[in-house]
Amino acid sequence: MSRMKMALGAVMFFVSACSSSPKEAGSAGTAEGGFKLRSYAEEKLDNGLRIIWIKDDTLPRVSLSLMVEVGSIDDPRGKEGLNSLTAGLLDQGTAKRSAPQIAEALDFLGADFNQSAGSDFTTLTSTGLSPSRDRVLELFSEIILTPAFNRTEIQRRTAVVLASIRKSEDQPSVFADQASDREIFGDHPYAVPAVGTLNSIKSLRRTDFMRHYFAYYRPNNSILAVVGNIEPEFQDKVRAAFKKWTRAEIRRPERKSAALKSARVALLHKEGLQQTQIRMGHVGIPRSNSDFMALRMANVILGGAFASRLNQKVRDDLGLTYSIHSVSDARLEPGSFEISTFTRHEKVADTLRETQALLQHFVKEGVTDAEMEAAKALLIGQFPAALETPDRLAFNLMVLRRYGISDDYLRNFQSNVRAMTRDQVNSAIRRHIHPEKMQVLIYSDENAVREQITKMGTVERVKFP
Amino acid sequence: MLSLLFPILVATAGAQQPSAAPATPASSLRISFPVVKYKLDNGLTVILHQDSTVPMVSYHTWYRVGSRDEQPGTTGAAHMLEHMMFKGAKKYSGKDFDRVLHENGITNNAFTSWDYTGFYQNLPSSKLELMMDMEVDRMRFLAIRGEDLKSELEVVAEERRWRVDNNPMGLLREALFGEAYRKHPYRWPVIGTMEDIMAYTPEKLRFFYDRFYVPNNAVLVLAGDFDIEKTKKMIQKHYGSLKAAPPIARHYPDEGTQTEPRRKVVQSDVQSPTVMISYPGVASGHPDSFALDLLASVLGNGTSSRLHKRLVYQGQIATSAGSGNLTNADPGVFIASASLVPGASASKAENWLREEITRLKTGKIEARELEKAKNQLMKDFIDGLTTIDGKAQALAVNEILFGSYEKLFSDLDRYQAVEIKDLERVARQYLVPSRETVAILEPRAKNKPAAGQQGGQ
Repeated sequence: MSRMKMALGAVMFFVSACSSSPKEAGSAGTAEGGFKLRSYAEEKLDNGLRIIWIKDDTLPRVSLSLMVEVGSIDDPRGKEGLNSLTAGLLDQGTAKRSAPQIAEALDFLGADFNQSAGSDFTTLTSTGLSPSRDRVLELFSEIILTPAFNRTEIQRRTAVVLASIRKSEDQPSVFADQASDREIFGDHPYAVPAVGTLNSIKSLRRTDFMRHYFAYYRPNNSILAVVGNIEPEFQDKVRAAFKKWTRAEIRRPERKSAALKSARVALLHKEGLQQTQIRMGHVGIPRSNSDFMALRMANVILGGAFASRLNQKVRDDLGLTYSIHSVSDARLEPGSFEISTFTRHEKVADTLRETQALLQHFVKEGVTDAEMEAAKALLIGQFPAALETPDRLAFNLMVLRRYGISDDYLRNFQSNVRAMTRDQVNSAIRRHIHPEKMQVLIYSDENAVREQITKMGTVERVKFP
Repeated sequence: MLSLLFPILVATAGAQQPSAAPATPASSLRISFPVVKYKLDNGLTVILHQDSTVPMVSYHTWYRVGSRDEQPGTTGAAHMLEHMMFKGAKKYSGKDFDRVLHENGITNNAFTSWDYTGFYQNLPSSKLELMMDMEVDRMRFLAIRGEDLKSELEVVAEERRWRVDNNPMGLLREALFGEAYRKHPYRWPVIGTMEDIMAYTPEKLRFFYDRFYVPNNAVLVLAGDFDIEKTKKMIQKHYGSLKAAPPIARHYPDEGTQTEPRRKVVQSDVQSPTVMISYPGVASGHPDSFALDLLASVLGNGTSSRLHKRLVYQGQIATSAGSGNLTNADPGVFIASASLVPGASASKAENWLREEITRLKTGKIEARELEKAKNQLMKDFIDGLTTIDGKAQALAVNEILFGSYEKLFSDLDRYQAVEIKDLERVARQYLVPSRETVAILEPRAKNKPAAGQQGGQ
């Protein structure tokens, strides 16, 4: 129960590389003490499927992971949540098996099938015990290659998703995150939760799922990672299972990237809240931006670690919150730079003022040499942990491929972090962090904060969703 | 087993070995890894596991103190002290602790539970001696300054609002435990009541610190890339001079036998109800804990479990449903729960949960269900060992609860030995109607004034 001290912060440290998963190694660097990447092999089948093999015999375990290069960013307008629900329907029945049969077959092996459908990519993963790996492979490939999209199951699944969307309001942190995305991204797809909205989900029909599946679930649009106890014989079985998958040309919708907006403060009211959630953020950089690493280092110093400026000041000195952190979330398209915290109602104005003042000073004066050294030590020292398990390495390799970044990113992480200069970091800060463009979201009970709000200047009352 | 996480919707992560049936896929698996264990003269238990996969060490220091060691009036003291452990000692004073860790590429965190408090770091191997110096400093010379406490209790108050007061599920958990226990300290929340949080003094915490933060009440676990012999010497050098404290007399109130069903309804501004039913269970390591863990898995682990099939898939009244057997140092609880879809009836869910619980006692449990539960637990067990931090945690929790890390491995056989008749027996013995506690979170009726928590029989 009680992972007490800054559980959020601990997760966040790993999460900062990429919104879709907590384990991109971007959060840390290549190692001290002769740490080397474990070896992996890669091949491409005739149908275009890329396969990454990582053999590891330390535990009797295998994992199969398929990254499909499609995300909620590809959802057509008005059909938000299509990608997420398509992924959610894969294991709800195949040509051969019903949803309960699939669940029973996997559970019986102690295996699982997990979908993670984010904004930029969709990851489907099964893990199992080695003695049953053939069976796990059979189920995994069957689920991915022959989903039935049965109408009753669509209905069932849709009902669960609608209920979950409504219930997200019961979690103030989650709800504030979603509302903040809308403030930051405006009408870009990143503004809408990957799971969709009540209206968009209600509009989805079977043909939508079929069309989406056949448009994007293609071998030439996917990367498979096979990890653990894998012998050549098993590798052959994997190839055989996926070679019949047919390729097709992938067409993606045209999009306009999100852009910076002028600052605004929005108040989202809910009666009875016992605490105020605060977000402030703006559009950030894409993963491909050459300032990615400099900005990551800047973020460690500002709000990405225990000893960061934000945590030391707002939490430790002032006692205004239990958790405050910043994230530079670089995605396929410009992502976000965002600070998140919460505080008691009577301290909303204080918390905002302190945070904004700290941020302005950070941008104006930049980081110090001592902070650079500490941030380098942290990134370099923690890098091996980010790749400790073969599953983590596999995930990182897939993410890099999705974003078109060379594996040298991992190989040279240590030396690149070491070589980073204070000027590089400070100029990246000035280029990409804009205190005067902040979209501030206050999620609170207006009755409890009205007096403070009236002194803040223009505050827009907003509704969400 | 592992009570690190609050196992409401997940079955307990436990060690298990597959059934005797030769067809079981996992039956051939035997898991173990080399471990060195010894005690210093001052009573500090040391557990070392060498693993050079990455040039790092996972450094765990656990103390046998948790919320069960508190009294009414100082609830949450163990957790508050955990926070103060980051506020400076003698050599590393004030903010030095976080800063020095950061500058040396070390991440750290801590947690407090009902029975123990743990501190852990992930560090580059080259920083092992520095880390030891820092942990010894705060094991022996913690400052607990008044001005630090003043600001830190605001932090903890904020943490409480975030976890509980502004979080309906937190409110529900607190209500359930407050009702399921009447005498034992498990009845109050680990984080403490807001009233107590705001009333801590350095003296109250100092009492806790002096009594419990002593070498003979601690377990040190290191897993990762280090040389065993050199590390033993290093440990002797740094920890050896610490003085043992008098043995700690521990008396925890016996909860006694519940004779009437209990019920608590919490109203909150939520979209849909959540229903929990609990029964008094057993302590970690109790001979029946293995069968109860597996029984919880049969009932509610995974989308093919009885509860998921009935309430989520077929009945479509819940978005999730599950079951878990919580085993602490003192007797825990067996819990079944369901989170409903908006508009669904809490009483219907309650009835269905109870029907499924009854069916465990009156109906037949299939051999296949038991085998599945064993396979699932085996998989969870192995998943928990993929990192040095996971291994260190698994060793620490077994050592702290049983005084014997070997349980981590030997429990596999205990799980393997469980038979259908054991499941049926523990179902009848523990899931008794008169010992049931129901806790329900329900949407507040419209047009009523907002308030925090409302109780009601």
